Amino acid sequence: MDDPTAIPHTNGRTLTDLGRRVQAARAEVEARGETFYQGPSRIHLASFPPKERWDDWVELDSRSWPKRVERHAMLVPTTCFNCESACGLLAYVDRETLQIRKLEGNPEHPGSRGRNCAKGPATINQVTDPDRILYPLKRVGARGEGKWQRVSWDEALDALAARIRAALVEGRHNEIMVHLGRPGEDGFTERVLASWGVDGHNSHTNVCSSGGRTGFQFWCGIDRPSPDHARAKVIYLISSHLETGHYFNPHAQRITEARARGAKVIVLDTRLSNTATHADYWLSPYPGSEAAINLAICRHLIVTKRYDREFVRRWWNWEEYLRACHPEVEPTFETFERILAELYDQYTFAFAAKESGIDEAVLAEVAEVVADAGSAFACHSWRSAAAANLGGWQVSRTLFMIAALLGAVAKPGGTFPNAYNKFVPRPIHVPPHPGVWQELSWPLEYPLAQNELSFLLPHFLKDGRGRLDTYFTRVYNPVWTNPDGLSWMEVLTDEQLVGCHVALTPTWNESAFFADWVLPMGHSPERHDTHSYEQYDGQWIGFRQPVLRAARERLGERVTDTRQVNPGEVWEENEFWIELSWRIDPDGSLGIRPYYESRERPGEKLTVDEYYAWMFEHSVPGLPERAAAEGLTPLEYMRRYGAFEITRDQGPVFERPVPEEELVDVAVTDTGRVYTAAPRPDSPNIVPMGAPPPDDQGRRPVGVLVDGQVLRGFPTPSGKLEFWSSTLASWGWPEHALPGYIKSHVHPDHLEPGQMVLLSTFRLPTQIHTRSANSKWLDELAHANPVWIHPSDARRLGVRRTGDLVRVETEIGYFVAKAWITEGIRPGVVACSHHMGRWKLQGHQTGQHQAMATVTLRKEQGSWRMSRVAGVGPYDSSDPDTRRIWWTDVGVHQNLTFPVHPDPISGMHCWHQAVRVRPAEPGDRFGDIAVDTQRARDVYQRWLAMTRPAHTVSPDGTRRPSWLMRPLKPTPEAQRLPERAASGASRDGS
Amino acid sequence: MNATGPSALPARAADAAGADAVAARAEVAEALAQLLATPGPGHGRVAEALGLPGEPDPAAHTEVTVLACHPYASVHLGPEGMRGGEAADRVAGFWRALGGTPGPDADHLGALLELAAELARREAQAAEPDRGAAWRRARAALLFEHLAPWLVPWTLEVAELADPWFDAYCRLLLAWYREELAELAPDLPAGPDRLPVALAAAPPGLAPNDGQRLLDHLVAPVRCGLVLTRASLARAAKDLGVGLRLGERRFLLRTLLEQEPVGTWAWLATEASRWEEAHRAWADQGLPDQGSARFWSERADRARQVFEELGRLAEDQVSRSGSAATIRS
Repeated sequence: MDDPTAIPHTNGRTLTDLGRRVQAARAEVEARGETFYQGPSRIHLASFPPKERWDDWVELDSRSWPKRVERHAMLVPTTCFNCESACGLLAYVDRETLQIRKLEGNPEHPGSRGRNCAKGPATINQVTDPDRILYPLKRVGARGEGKWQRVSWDEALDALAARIRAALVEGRHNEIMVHLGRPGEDGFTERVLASWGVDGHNSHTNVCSSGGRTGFQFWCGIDRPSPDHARAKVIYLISSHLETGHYFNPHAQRITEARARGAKVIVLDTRLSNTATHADYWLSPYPGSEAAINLAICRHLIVTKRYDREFVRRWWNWEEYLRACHPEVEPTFETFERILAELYDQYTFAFAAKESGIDEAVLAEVAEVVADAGSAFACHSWRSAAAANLGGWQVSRTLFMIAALLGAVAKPGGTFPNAYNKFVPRPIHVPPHPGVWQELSWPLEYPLAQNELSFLLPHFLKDGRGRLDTYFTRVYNPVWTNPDGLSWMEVLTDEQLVGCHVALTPTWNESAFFADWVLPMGHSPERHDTHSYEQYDGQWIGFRQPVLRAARERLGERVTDTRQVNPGEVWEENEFWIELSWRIDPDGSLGIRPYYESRERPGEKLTVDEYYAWMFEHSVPGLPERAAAEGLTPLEYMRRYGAFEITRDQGPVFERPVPEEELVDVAVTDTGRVYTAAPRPDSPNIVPMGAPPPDDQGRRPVGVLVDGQVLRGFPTPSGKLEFWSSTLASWGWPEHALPGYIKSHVHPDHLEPGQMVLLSTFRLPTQIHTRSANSKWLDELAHANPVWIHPSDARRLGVRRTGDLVRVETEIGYFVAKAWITEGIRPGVVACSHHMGRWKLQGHQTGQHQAMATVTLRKEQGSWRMSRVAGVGPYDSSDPDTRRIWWTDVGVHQNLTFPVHPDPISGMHCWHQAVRVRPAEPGDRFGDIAVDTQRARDVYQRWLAMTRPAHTVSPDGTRRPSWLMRPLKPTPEAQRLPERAASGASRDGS
Repeated sequence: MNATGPSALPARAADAAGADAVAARAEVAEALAQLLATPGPGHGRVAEALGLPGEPDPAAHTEVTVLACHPYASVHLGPEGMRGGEAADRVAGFWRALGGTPGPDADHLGALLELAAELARREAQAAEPDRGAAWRRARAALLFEHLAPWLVPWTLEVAELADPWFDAYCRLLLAWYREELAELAPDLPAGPDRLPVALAAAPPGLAPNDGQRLLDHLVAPVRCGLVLTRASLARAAKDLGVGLRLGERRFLLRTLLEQEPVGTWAWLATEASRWEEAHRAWADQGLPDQGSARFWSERADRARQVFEELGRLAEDQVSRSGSAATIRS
């Protein structure tokens, strides 16, 4: 090098000029939607195939080594279906075989940003599973006998359409129900049912998250939190939910970023979970005491005056509270502060230490860390404690109180209401809500239930409260997932109670064994859905699509039905529901057909292409422009990239001023709620949230008056954050109208001598609910659920070593499992993971071989007995890996031995169990289960007696506060208490 | 809003122009970093934007970045001339101090150039002056502590391969490096004696009594002040008229010394002298990295002395016994 200072080949340009030239070249390339720097990033730990090479991505075939054999693939995006996070996937579709070779992360997805957990890539196992259901099946023989006949889709559709049409014509709308497991597209199934005039939507939410939702809903009218982890200073997590559910991958990667910046992570988890191992502070509280800890932190913030006084003054409904509960005092903020301090003075660190078993000094240290967070306090509680305890909903209500005291609501690094960070595009057709009320899902006893009382369905049917003519389970396995599964089996095998059971499922499960029709539905690369979830302060939509359909369309083929490209005759739901609805009302006489007609081709059936083309064109702001910049239609853009970010940095929506044009004929209440006669502006985003009712003059609530300005506020009755819930107060629960502490049903005061708490609300992060069983990689990773026992308990109980069998006795039976003696669990508590213990009945030809034990099930003297005949082992199939199965264990199905525990307010099943644990008896065998379903009935009755039914407390003659969220909202007439019940209603709730 | 004073607007404009220049140089750094990755379809476009002569020859790229001129800080600064160890940990610690997660290739030149680009962008985009100043200090630390100790020696060893594309690449890289040094000079440690930690704490240079470990030390650049690539050893064999055996570099050196000890030591002394001159020429420019350049110059000069001494010993042995003692690793 002669002159090291000369810049070569640049015609005298300076380095800055050269840099600008590169910047310009990069901008030009990126404006075309292409990638300028296509190599891997060394600083962002990311390496993805550049999107302009997605049509022909070349990799060397590893199995051909040392030969260099190129494999060409089309990369087609879709959305993972293996938990609710909806992470982006890229399917590698082999260009020669047109089959999916593997699935990896989609870098264009704003939520997951190209990363996945183990469950995403394992989708390929589900697609190629040798045991999967490929064709429609119809039961032959008795229900549950395990004999099936392959039928055509036409036969199944015609038979089901005829049943449903008959029920609708005969006014038996409430005999039709669709019960959902893994959510598909937001609102799709609800709209199908609405178009039929049926209030038959049932969900799994009351065995999942409704306890957590309830606490958030009563505060802000929106039932999910959206913690802004990436920008937080302190991250406060109740339980290991993060790692096992929502939203593991999108949240974990942002928590990792926050930790790298120095954020502190506090985890409350009785068990040493993976999440707890990453915490700066791991608190292992006695189960059910989490709300006491939250309240002690609240008290610390109040006593030390470390709360955001201005935020509390502006946004809490303290004035409404004082007027309602302290009419004798001047309703000033200073008065409220004094009363607030008095109200929470009882929740000292000493109190919380006594309840939780955690040292006072540790609690005080954690409270200081929280206090230092200011508004950068991100918190999350979903299942676990909120889903496990009587009054568990107060865990999330007290948790949000910490955020509300810190002013950490919708601030950078704070906790957002999820509706700010979620976008549900308005679809092409929106049918009205039904004119009937489904009492099997929304019974009078639970007027404040957050979601359907789904897990009580067998008991309601046994009570004679109704029957089901046609019952769909959709990617749902109630026999296995719910508590008291054998009561489910009893009603599913009784054709008087359930006339027809249709299992829409991609894989065999314990409930499908008791179906009349088993109809194969697609996995994530085999179906359409849109999704949007709160994972950071922004809004995005993801697109799930049948990737082989998209791949063939890239090659110029035309696909009109997803079954043309899916394995066997596997279908997708959207086309299924459209076709079924069309056949229910072929001539339009029932008023259903118009919701399934094309707009482009009037009179013809709507296609999924038109459905999504319309949605992406009309209801996703910015997408048409972004697509046009690349010369694509919005649908083509979504088929190519699989996701689109709509907005970033929503910020505190509640602080936004209401525009003048929305303020017409305004009325303002004493506490500042503002109503308007102006119609609601059309919004393309139909994200669910609370819907406060209009005023007496029919004006809609539009905002709230704060310091003389009309601001948007929250979708609560008061328009503010509801520290005091007028809803709880007026619907029979005034003693719980404030954030507080309810002693759990497993509180030490409620345990009998010798009882322990069984913690059953966790799972391993590599597990999918029912559908792990057909993912061989996931099966190999985890296939056992031993009972965690602390060494001190093991000594006391006489359990000598890990692997010894123990008998765990619940109120209605027992299960026999292996012990795992570990210091990772609190003394006095045992724990057992759910998502294990899959089974199939001996003699049945169907079922999963990789993760289902073969069992016998018999009833003896009123009690059910399940015994394991065989575990799993190697077997011959189309997949040579099934010969390599080296494990035999599949865990134990503990849920069968749990009675139902419906929380009288939230309706949430309270999962924790008071149990006795002892060494197995002679003759006990691993996996043995005994259940007395009559005793299960007794427990159900006992918990039912704790309720305060609507007809005794409703303040307005309705069944349920109309503003609370509900998937389907029956018409006002249907919401009124039935006459038989209304006669017992009392205006004052006494 | 009223202007705060007559000088406010020009000052901001100057700041903006400075930020623009920083961002532009950051783009050059990122582009240079990208070109060190395995060549792919996008390389041509990036090279063209940088004004480089077409795309690199894939074989030459592999030779430079994989086989011969390992672009890792640890290879150049570590006591054995190998990847990893304390030299790599030092770079990883820097990443962690910035709040990042060091990847397995954190001390790769491409990673450090990307990091330099990222830090420059953060400085240019910082909303608050204090934050901007902090990022600027981080840039200065990266340049002085983690690039200056070995970037120039790496370009010298690449020059050994005489590939036209990489010659142009290295000139551009050095141009970027010089401008960064100039711009960040106020934030860099002043004085010709100031050394980066990696060099201040470097293992000792060569000694004639290194004995069996001498061959190890000859392939550790930070000890001997020169980089003996396969290409340079092939040149040695050719110059000396001896056979070049196949094997790793220590084996090659041993076989050269076994075949022609006096000539090999002489060849090494000449090579060390050449490297000493190159380092000194860089040091004489008086740039803020002159401490590093002097360090390398002194190490190469020391190596020359050792090689000459060992050459004399070898010559004596040959004259006494007709054959020289061999060095075995």
